[in-house]
Amino acid sequence: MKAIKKFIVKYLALILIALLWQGFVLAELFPRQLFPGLGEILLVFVELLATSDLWTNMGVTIYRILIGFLLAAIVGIPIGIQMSRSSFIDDLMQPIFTAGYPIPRVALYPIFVLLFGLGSGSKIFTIFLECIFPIVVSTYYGAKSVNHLYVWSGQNMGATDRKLFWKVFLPGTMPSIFTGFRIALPIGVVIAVLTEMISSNNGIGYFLVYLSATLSQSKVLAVVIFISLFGYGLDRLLLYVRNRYVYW
Amino acid sequence: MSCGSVMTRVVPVNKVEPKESAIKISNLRKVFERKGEEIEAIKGIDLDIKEGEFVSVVGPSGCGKSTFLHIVGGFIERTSGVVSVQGEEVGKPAPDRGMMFQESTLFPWRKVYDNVAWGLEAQKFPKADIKERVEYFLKLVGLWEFKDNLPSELSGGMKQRVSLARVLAFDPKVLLMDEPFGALDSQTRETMQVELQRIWSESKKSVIFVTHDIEEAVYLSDYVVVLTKRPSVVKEILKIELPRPREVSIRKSYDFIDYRNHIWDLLHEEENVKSIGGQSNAE
Repeated sequence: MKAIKKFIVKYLALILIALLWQGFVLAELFPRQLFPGLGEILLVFVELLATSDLWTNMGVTIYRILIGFLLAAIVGIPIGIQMSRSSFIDDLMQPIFTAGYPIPRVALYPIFVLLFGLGSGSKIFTIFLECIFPIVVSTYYGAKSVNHLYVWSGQNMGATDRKLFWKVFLPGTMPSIFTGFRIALPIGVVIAVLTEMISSNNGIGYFLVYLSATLSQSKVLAVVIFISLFGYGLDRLLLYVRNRYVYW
Repeated sequence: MSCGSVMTRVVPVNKVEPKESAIKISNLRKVFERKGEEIEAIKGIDLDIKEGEFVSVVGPSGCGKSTFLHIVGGFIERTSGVVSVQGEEVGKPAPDRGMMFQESTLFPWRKVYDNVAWGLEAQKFPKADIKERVEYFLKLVGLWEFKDNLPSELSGGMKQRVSLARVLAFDPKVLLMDEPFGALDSQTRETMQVELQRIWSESKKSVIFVTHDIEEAVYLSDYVVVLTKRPSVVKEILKIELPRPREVSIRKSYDFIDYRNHIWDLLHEEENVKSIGGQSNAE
């Protein structure tokens, strides 16, 4: 009983939205074709899971997200750390990251298509560009706020600068880096779908556009649910890795 | 211990043993620059601490006693003056001056054992030696059974005991302690003081111990150095001639209370002096 109550409280907002949705459906305010009931969406969702269309397109999207995200991490973490350690690099990079942050980088997507083609390249680059901002900014502030007494203690114990960096400074920054990851990854998912919707011939975004064009609204919604579950799973995975390996 | 402004008190020192100097500080001066304004934190401190002596430094809050210790440790640069350990001038932080801070600086990502081993690994002690030393010092502070715990699983007092083991493990020439028990509750603090006295008497290391707790200073020390308000100089050095090992109940003795009251008077004398140029006392 207690468990049920807890479950309801935890997912109350989602349950309310579902009820509201179903209320609209029952009131028949919109045509069923465009505004399908939850039961139908769920049925289509299950059917969809058995199709190769979903999985091949999703595979392409996952590939783009992961590559873009990984590139952002590989490039972003060193930039954030260098900015925190050298005032020259800080001065050099700061304008890019303060002025660049509010720019909707997706708006530059056509240029990236021109540069990297219609295939995965332009998508990966846009994902990379979106993900790198939160990663750099989180890393930078995390590195800045590493307890200086840890560093002092390390120096006191005779550590070389190299050891100080790898064994004190970097572990001290890791929690913030993961905060950056957790902000960046869902953005990566959204941007992947978005860029695929704008121009693509594969990927889950393309699949969405295709389904919309065929007026299979319940399929579109089923895919949307699928994407949100995927994003949720990705975040849980990241959280698991963090709690397992960056437990401090 | 010797100093330009020694004031003998209570019992005259009858015999001066010729001991080696462990830490010698002369003409130490520190001027900070804040918003283009120069603030003199330390005007000039001279101290000569002999091998095996336990010396506490007390002073009115904001007098720069922590700054003083951080300079000795090499964490902050001195404006002028000389700090030498066993006759050699020192600068940057190094393992010859083992430092303990008020808050725990145990690395939260390492288990207790690995925290104590950290300095030994950094200094490339032989592997077998590391094992032996970590075990010895964790047992010395009574926390060997917690070797596989993370610092976050320990209480404040336990953390500081591990910190003490960590610093003793790499065998520094001298110990610098910056209010190491300042963040603990009074009960735990008293236990820690007893423990520290026991461990110190075994290790025979020279200690500079910064505190704002007068009783703690009297209980632990051979000498208590009283600093003036900023810009600080040594106001007085008291030799604490209470027999060792000191029982906890020594706090109730008249001698102890005499020392305490005297230092209390000195500090209050300082508090009542108008600060020069109306500087704030923020440390």
